[in-house]
Amino acid sequence: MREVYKKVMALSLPRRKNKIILGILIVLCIILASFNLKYQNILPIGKSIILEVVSPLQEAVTFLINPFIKSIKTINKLSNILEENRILTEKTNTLLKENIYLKELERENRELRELLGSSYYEQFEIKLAKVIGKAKTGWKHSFFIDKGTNHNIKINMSVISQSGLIGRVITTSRNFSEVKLITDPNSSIAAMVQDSRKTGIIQGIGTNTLKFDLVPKEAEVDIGDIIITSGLGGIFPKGIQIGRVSDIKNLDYELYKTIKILPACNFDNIEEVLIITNFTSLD
Amino acid sequence: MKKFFFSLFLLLITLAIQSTIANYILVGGIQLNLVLVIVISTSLIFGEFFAIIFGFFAGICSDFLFGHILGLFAFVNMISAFISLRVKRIFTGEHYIIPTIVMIIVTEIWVFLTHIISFSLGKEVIQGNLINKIIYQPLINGLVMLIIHPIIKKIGSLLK
Repeated sequence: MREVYKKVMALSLPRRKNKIILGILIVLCIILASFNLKYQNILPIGKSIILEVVSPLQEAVTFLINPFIKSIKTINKLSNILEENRILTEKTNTLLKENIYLKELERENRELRELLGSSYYEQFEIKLAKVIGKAKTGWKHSFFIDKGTNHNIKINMSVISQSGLIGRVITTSRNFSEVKLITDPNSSIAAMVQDSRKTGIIQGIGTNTLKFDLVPKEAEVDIGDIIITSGLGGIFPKGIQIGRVSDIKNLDYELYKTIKILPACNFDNIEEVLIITNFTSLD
Repeated sequence: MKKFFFSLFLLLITLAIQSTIANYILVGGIQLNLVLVIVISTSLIFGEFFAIIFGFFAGICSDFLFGHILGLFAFVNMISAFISLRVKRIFTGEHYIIPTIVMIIVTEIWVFLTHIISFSLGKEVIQGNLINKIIYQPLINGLVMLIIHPIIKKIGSLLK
């Protein structure tokens, strides 16, 4: 009987040990989640360590797959080339007309600038960084870039592309950083309509579109209007293009207009970003 | 020791691939969860103790890189790895399709758990995204499991 008991114990002991470990680790997970909810700064510390280890590998993988990705994108583009050509011809005609008008404005602007001193944008120093990885889940949209504290990158620096605003730096390690995209569900940016100067808040909703919130129902906003950063909040410089209005609804049960924005940048195709390094954020 | 270094190497490679190549492997707009595939695959090969520890560490790393609540992926990955072995016990034999079926079932549990916990902690759940995840994530994970599991099994048997 004792022999049988010993055999049963020998078989069940490792399993019991595993269950104890499982229990301990579950408790640890709960503690970590509770700490994270209370002290938000735990995540960036651990993240910068993991970034330093994983990012060189990300860089290598990106380097290896980039030629393939580019070839696939080119093939995809070729199939749409005829339609694209027709659209571009139409656009060229419109742009030619706009060009004449803009040249006149540019001349006027140059004259005014000479009167006022240097231009607003000339004061910004910009640093180029490569996108080496992406994190895109329903709850998080971010990029990993190949510049960190060694390159003078700091938390809250604005990140842009040629098309418009991308996001801001949220974590830095020595050689790598993480950029929270404007499409991230936790992202909020003070913004305004370029023409009517009506202000509101741009919020990420975890998809490829944005929500323009807190815009009063009587405010003049039209589809196609350009949305820019308002500079309020002190993180992003004023005047960076965010996107264009793609949908407007005036719902009876809402206090404000329901406005959808199509971002100026196509986040799926971005390979390089620009970081504004000398804009001083207010926090 | 060999197993430890192999797991560490596999985890680092997986995290790098998850944040690069996996962004282009989309079905119905849903991304492949390679970290979960690797966790389940190695758990089925190396057993319960390994499943718990590896699931936890892979989850913690995912939390730091892709997570929004520290400890969420650690908890869900560890539980998924633990459950995968229980699910595997339902099936008899060593048919090559069994790991894929286990992967599909466990992915559904993973999606369910992550969304329930996130929702309970006040995070918004996008309905369309959730439905797509329920439908497509198990399919894409299962398909990748079908390819990857025999390779990891081969390496695992060499390590043993």
